[in-house]
Amino acid sequence: MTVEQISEFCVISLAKVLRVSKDRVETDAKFNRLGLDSAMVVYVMMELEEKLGLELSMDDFYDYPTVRELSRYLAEKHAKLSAA
Amino acid sequence: MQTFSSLVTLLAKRAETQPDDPAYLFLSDRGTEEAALTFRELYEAAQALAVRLARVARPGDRAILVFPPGLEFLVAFFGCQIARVVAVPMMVPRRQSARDASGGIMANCEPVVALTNPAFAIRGDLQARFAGEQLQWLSVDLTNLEPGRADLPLPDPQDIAFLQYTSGSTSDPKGVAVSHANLLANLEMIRVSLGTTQQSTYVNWVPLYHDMGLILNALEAFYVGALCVLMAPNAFMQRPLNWLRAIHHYRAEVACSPNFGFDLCVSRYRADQMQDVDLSSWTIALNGAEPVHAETIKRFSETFAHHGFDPGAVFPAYGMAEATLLIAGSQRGAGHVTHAVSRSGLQAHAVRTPLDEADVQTLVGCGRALINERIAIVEPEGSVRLPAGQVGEIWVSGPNVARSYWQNPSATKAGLNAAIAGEDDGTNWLRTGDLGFLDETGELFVTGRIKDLVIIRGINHYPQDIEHTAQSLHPALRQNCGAAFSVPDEQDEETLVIVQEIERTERNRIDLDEMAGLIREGVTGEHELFARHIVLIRPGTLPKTTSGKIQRSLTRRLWLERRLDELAARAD
Repeated sequence: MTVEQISEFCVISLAKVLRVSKDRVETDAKFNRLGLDSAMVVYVMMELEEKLGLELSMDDFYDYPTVRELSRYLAEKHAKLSAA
Repeated sequence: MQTFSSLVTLLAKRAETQPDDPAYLFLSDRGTEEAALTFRELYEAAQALAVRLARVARPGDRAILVFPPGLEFLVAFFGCQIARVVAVPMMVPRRQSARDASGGIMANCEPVVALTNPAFAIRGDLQARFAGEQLQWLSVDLTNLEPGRADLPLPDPQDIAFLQYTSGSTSDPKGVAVSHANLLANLEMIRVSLGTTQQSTYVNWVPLYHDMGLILNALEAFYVGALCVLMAPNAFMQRPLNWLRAIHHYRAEVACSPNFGFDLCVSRYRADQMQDVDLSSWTIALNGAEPVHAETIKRFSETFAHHGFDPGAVFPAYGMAEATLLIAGSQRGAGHVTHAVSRSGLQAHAVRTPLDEADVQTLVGCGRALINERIAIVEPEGSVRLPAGQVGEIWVSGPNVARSYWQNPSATKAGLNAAIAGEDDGTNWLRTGDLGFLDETGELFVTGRIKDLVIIRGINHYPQDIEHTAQSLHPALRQNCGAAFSVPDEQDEETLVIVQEIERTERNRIDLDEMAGLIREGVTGEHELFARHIVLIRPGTLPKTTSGKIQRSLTRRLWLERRLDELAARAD
């Protein structure tokens, strides 16, 4: 998957868990600023794990705290996995 | 069952009669066995710790327990009992949070010892947060167990075993002082209600600093001599199906959770991850610590029916720390009772027949009073007892009700030593602050709360703490002019709303979206809560009483009716 596809998937997942419309999830906004609590992080993490076939940790959300940063990181991780 | 004078005599008995039976197992996040303690090992490790404790603390002194999930907590808890030191379980503060309840608790209980594990002992932020003039840190290391013998005097039944700080706000924490007598009384009441034996394996993910995790699981299993398998709360949150797999693997009989945990299992259900999982051993699926939803029970029973889950195992219950833990519960195998009432009637605190389909609210019964206990429904203003079928405050009396809050005589008098008007039998009643009614058979239905309390995912939050966090974020957010409350969302789950006044002078200098983002971020950081709706209003428009008290329930109603004077159109 490309960075754009992963980013789009993150936004959909976040909009679902926050129960807001997609256009309200800015890709540069910090997860904290969006109000994501740890239970929500877990939910989004599970969706991403399932979609990408990767294992993630909650720390990834702290190390890459925006949709933009997280999806760039995930795209690299995903590419490595596919190449291996 | 034989009666005991304290947890210490019970522990000695277990170590003598079933020394090599496993008492506790701790599962890693991957589900493998990470640590184990037999009853003998538990007794010896606790005695060794008691000897160390007796060097630095006197009987009656307080020790805070600050542990990550694991078995060290249990050694510490029992070590305190042997040394007759009052245990104070603490929630581990998050690194990022600036302010939490720990400061208020430390000031109230004035501990002399802090117990922790080797990994936490080197965490500088914890030492700094709990810094006290006299506080000595002792570390409990399970990898280096030394057998010990402590020849110390036994606790008296009226001695305080531990303090449970689950009620009261950050600024005014209330520590329920639970005696050995209270604890043993409630453990016996729970045993009778659940019908458990030495063979009744428990699987628990609820944290041990939460009374549901500590008493209903860790101590109840120990009380009947059964194995208690523990997993980390976070491991459950991440992979809830692992909880069910552990129930299958250990052929567990008892597993408890607040309502949201059952919902979580349903929403994460994947048939391919649950092949061969058989839940037919599970005879007590206790649902408590937050409102029990009929819809949750139905969904869970349907989803797991083909894994052998018995709907009769569903065991709704009601309790609180002031009553040690359990107040009302079903009977083993009896299933649950539901009652369809009028939603609009309940809003006026009346039990009526629904007007039509849309007006139906299905209440789940939380069982009846336990043995040796009484539940009364009382009109809260005049303290008059109400008959069956009428909604009032739930009052409780029994040997499980604590006699006091630690160092807080006014809260003790109001909350634990209440009297029903016209009944001069000297009974001390606990006022729960919850509203409900009893039906003709004595089944208890909980319908709401008198006090403003936000309960989300089984955790109590005080609205004044959330409001204070919000108001400390920016000078435009007026002090003491906000209201936090919860409303049910589309899925009937409680969700947080914050209404906040904006200073007149700042109105044109600030960006409303920016303010809402600031509040959302601050509240998530401090309270682990998502503020779904942030409503900014004009100064002077928040409903208050003439004496200046914030009217949260009125604010809630006005918001639901869209009648608040909002500064911007609601964007949700």
